[in-house]
Amino acid sequence: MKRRWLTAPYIVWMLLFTLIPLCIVIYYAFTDYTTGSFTFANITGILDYAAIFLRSIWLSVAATLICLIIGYPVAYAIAQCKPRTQRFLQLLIMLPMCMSFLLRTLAWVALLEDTGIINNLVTSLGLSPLPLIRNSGAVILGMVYNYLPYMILPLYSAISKIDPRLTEAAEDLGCNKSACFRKVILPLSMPGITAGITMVLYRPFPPFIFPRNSVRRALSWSAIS
Amino acid sequence: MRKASKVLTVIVFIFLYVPIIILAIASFNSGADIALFKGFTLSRYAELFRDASLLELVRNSFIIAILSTVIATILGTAAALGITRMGKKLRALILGMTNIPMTNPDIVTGVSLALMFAFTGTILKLNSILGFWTLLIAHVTFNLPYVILNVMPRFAQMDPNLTDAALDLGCTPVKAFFKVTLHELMPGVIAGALMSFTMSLDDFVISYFVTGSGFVTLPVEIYNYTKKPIHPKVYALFTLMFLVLLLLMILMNVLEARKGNKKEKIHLPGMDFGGSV
Repeated sequence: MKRRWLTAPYIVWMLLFTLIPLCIVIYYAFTDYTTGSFTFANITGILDYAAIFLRSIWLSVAATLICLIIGYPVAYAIAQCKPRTQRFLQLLIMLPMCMSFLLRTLAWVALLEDTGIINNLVTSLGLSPLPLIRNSGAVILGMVYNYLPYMILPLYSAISKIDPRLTEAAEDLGCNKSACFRKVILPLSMPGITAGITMVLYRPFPPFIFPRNSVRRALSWSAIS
Repeated sequence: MRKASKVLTVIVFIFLYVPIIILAIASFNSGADIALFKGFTLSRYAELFRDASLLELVRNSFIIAILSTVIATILGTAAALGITRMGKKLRALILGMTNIPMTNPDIVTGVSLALMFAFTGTILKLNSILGFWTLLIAHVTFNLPYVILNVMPRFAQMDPNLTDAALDLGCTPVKAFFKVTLHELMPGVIAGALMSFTMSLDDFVISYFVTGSGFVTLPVEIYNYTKKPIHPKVYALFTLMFLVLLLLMILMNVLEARKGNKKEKIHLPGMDFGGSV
């Protein structure tokens, strides 16, 4: 059918702006930085970063799982609302992500820091400050925070499409709640789960965030005021 | 179970808005440290409106976000329409290609595009082609996969008989597409457009590499701010932006509700044959 041609502009776009640029990167990966001759040195150099690489993978898998576990019930709850509320909640989930990623991260830093909002409260109660930041937990918190909406939306999109009559039928036919979930709702929301995982797992944490001491500097404007 | 998931939803919404609340409070803080509230002031907002260059950055960001979202949504939805009609192999190939910009870290996408633009620049013998157009191209490129990934699941769940029924009932294929297919896909299309807009408005890593000095967006400029202390007027700017977007959303919702009510009043009495409404 002719409808297939609708994909053509997209394919041309992706060839021009994704595949060709990627080929250029691959070309540079195998050439020497200064002389321009062929080399494997850049590739073997990766091994220096193996530990960081593995840690990144571990952290994103953990964050993705947490996003899925938290996101699924939320997407399900949203899908149970009235259609108008659903659309509003959909927008409400994405809204915080419109704000600058850097500023949102700075806000988390301000909250969790050793001299941050939470620790100010803790110390004013006479306790010693909690180690809330610069550990794996804080990194996972940041990742979950930034990627949760990207998990919830595709999940919601799939769950809201499930015909409620199917679950009713399953219950009529003697399924209990958990069996109904396992056998009807979960398989039918699978496309959303895969889409959500693709979006979250493959979006590694933005790799260059400002150096540590500049965060403190950025937050204390008093230095010049 | 239902109650638990509702409570969780409320908690998640609060969690998502924590940084926004912190920034909003900081924008009224007369003290300089974000973690210590000294006193209430509106002077940050006055300072913001005196800064014309900052407001221009906001305008630039919105122009790029809106344009790239519209282009990516149209291209992406059209592509998804075509992909569903393809054979298995071709479809796998194209979906594989769709995953490339998503699996690549932003920095790789940014650098690769910057390299290509630099090449094109030297071929065309232009000093620098980086600016508005390269930025727009880059934003459309990273938005496209999100549109496709949001629209495709709707297709998988859609009843193909619906379109056939519309055609049987006398719709032209174009009309059938707009009235039936697009209507069915709409939640996916909206989700895709929403993600595109958001990511475009907030993108900094890719923009950082492909933008020239002529056209700078807000996130890129904010990164420059982190090299020096952030002036609290930036918090004021984001608080305002947040409020404007929130108001727009509420307005859209109310308008939609009105439209919906009118439709019900016109259609329901005639169409309801004694069933419960």
